[in-house]
Amino acid sequence: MLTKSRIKMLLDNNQSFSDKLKLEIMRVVEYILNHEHIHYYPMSKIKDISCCESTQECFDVTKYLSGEQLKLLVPRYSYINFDGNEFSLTQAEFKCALKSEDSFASDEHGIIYKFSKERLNIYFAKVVAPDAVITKLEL
Amino acid sequence: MTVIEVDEVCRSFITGNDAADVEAYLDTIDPQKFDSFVSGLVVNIHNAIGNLESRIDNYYHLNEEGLTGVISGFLEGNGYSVKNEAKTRGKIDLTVEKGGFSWLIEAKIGYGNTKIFEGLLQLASRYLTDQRSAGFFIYFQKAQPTKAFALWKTFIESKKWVDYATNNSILEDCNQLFGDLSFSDDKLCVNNTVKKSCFTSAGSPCQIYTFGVNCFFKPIDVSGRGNKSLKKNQAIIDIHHAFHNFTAGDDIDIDNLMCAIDEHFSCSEKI
Repeated sequence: MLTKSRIKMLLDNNQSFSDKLKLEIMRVVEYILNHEHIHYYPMSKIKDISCCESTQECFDVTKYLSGEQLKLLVPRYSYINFDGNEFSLTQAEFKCALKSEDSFASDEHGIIYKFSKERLNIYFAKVVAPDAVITKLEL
Repeated sequence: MTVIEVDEVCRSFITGNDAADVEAYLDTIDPQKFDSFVSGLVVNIHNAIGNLESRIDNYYHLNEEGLTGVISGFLEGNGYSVKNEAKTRGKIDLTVEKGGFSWLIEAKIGYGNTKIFEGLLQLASRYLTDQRSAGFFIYFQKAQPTKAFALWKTFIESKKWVDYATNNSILEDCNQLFGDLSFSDDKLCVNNTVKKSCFTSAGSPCQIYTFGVNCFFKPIDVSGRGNKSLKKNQAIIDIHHAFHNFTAGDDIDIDNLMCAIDEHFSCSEKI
């Protein structure tokens, strides 16, 4: 069973992590443990919680949180229309859109015209029943 | 109706990076096909090697397991599950997993081309069966690692291993594994990385990505020259290389070996 102290030990044992990155990861881990009802984690929220200074650091944090050791978060993909409607994309659709200039196709929503890459979105969902169960016993 | 705003952090990441970099990130956190898994992993291995090389003053003297351990730690930090010396038809140096996909990696210190070739034989004939691709790390601890890597490529491309294979009565087996297949181009092969096709012991085609790692660290400034710990470690590296060259039947420079032994003992006394 993966506990907070076990996660801290995993981080401490890994020499590739800077002390700063360890702190940033632990901030998000603690937040997730203390907010069981929250399942939606957009990048800006993860950046706020972790106190990462740069966007790149924030994405490095998500690599570990969604990685094989913790499996706390799982990535999701979406597109936010100019009218503020969000719809989900598969990863394959997201990748196609990344390389497209003016439009892309979504199985669910057909061809999206007046497309802007800036409106592509990656967010994370809390894994509801992760393989590695987190317990609050050692909080 | 709720109006969703564009997430500024995500927007900054997508607009601030090339599409290829964003794809590499997706292939790291969420590989959905084996090829994506390999693409993401190779990018992360390059980053891990870059990280190791930039701090090689801390690691240059480590053995094969120690150097592989540093790379493992970096890969774990990027979300991969890493097993050192897992039992897979023997003890493979590294097994890397993510999202249900896995990759086997064998590592060797670059003592000499025949020693490195033994590592390749180990990977292809012992561990690989139906895998589509695998990794091979070569750690070069002596001067001119780039040249050493080029010589290794020539050793394979020009089939200089034929003599070694003949002397050890494994030529037919080696021809089945490596045959006439040569290095092939791949967008993932940057820096000291090459890709070569081979056949596994089961007869399946497999691509082996070979990564040359620069582990040479011998500063000759006044501080480096006076550092006893550095001199002792370099002496140990020299002795190991001489020993392995000797056992491989290669010529060794006895004067250099005696100097290294002398350096080792004199530094051991004074530390």
